[in-house]
Amino acid sequence: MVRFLTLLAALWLMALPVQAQNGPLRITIDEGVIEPLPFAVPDFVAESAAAQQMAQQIARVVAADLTGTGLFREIPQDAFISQITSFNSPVQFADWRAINAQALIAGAVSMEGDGRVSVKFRLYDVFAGQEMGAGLQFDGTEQGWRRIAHKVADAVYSRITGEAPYFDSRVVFVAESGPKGERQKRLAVMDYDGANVQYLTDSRSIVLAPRFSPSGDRILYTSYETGFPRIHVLDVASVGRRVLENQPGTMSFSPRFSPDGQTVIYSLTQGGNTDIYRMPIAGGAPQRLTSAPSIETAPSFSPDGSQIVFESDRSGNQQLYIMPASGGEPRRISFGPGRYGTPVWSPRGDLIAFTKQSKGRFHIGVMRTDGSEERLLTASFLDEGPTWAPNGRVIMFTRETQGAGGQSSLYSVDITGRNLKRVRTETGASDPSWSPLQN
Amino acid sequence: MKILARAVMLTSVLALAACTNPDRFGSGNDVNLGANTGAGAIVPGSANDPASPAYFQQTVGDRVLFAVDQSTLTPEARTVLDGQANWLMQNSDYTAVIEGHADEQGTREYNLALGARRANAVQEYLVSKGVAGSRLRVVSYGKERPIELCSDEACYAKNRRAVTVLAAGLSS
Amino acid sequence: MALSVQRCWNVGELSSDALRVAVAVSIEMNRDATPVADSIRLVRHSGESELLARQAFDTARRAIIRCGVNGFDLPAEKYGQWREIEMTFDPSNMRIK
Repeated sequence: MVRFLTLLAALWLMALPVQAQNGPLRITIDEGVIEPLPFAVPDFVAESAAAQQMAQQIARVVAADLTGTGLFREIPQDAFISQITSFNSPVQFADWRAINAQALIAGAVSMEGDGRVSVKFRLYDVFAGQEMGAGLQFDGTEQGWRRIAHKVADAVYSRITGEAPYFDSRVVFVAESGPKGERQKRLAVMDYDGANVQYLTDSRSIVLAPRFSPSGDRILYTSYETGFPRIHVLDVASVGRRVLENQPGTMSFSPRFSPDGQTVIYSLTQGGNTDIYRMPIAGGAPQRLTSAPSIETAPSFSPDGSQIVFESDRSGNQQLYIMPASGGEPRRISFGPGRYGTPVWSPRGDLIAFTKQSKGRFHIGVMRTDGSEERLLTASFLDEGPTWAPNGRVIMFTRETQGAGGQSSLYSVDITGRNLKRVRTETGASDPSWSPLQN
Repeated sequence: MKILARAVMLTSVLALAACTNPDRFGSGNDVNLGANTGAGAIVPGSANDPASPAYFQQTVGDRVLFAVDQSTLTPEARTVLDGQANWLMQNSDYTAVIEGHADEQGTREYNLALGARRANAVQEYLVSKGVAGSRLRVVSYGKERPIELCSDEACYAKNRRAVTVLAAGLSS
Repeated sequence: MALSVQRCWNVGELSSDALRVAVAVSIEMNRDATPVADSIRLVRHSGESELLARQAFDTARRAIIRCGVNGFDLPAEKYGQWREIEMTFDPSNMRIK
């Protein structure tokens, strides 16, 4: 502490010459700290007796969303000096400053008794002593209370970070059970945080790599229901499904929607050779986009729909390539040592996430679309299959542990490489695909 | 659970050994003499009935193995496939699905494509030896169905395989 | 004072886009070396959008208020020299690479 003060004094002397004769003292700050922002979320105010429990639960989900980003740190409620007992009474900023809460979220819940829930909240910048943005109100159903909480957290997250929101989103994945040699696989969807799991298929056939449509209403996936891997499309609301691509003597897999939801790109294997095709989701003639004797698979559209990134082993091992969406000469973008697969274009368009195998380890990484600035975010025995959060800031992927008792689970990581964590699921889980933000 | 799994594996190894050894040392010639020879000693459908799928599986050998990231047939694999081709020519009632597999050291999609390459290599070889292409279908399981579960090369080597699975009746 | 503000300038929650924005803020100081909270203004910024500049400004303002809450270590006799301060927050060295 003494040393710190001495340093301060020294700096003060150094800063002096910068001062202009007249006018303000000028100081430049070019170093800061990177630490989670401390925030406080008191229980929301229950504006009707029936809303008491939900008012607590919503505050908990908001806190969990924010804390889960790694960018925020919650100040525990037992540290609070004052409480929020009424949504409209003035906030005692000094009480919140004293516990170093930099952001304060105050909310209220009312239930009309007809199953409708109304939630309003205000976000305060405690040290500035003022609101950050205007208060907001969200209406929903009692069963949909978690979504309302996610919307509140999304608004807070966006206002403070400037990132687009992503909490009010879902993830489709493969739920796994049974031993490694005869694993049972079912399609399932859940909220991004693992809540509200719903199973979409039974475990009679192997299912792989589901992908959400851009509007979140349909899911493409690969199933062995016909005895051979074939692409199916499933309607989320009705859970009705149909085979999309069913040419005899072929296998089809690795499907993905175009950004407008009208076209499917996928891999088709015929005579041992795998190439990339596209076809209208409504059905129609497939159009072949690559024709090489090598393996071309894992295609993913750019967000503007003009280009496709995919993997190919035409160079001798798996590498990433970009080609026009209508086919044409591919351009190789990955050149580092190791093998690159499962590229996925970020929703912001600036990055491509991929799986990299190098020296017996698997990594999830990101690179710019020209292949520059490669950054590996994770390392383990087996990490694969990245999917982007709707705001392009977070990546979810499959991590499988080693050995005969190996299990798959879902993990997420920030694109900075920070905040790696497991997504809680009640069964083993693999092949996540993140939905767009819900409406 | 683990102990149980190990016990099951052990018994299946013993069963395999019991079936394999008599063939190798005793009735090896029966194959060349045709399915009807020595019928009195043969239980139809059992592993020592040369016309049985069990015989195909255990004596002819229903699988071939591949090197890492390869779909090229080794000399050993060709020998096994020669036997498979002979058997299929003699037992023309059967069709077969050739299942291609990969070890777990690869991404899911790539491994599906790699398994397809392996299954296709087997199919092409059998066709080149005279088996009608219409009797053979291929499917890839990628890394979805390992038979050996450890995460070592000893297990990976056995998982990089193409297995010829017999089915009765002509293909549709 | 710079070091002190530095310690409170938390850019961890800023988006990677907002981390490319430098902001200059003006501050009026009280005689007790605490900042006048509602005097803190955004003077100029290098951002592509007002939204990004706003977020960068918010973190700068929080840093000044939070670390100035008990007064900065400034010589009282020279109040005239630090009554007005213009502080530039430039995160370019801290960008997430």
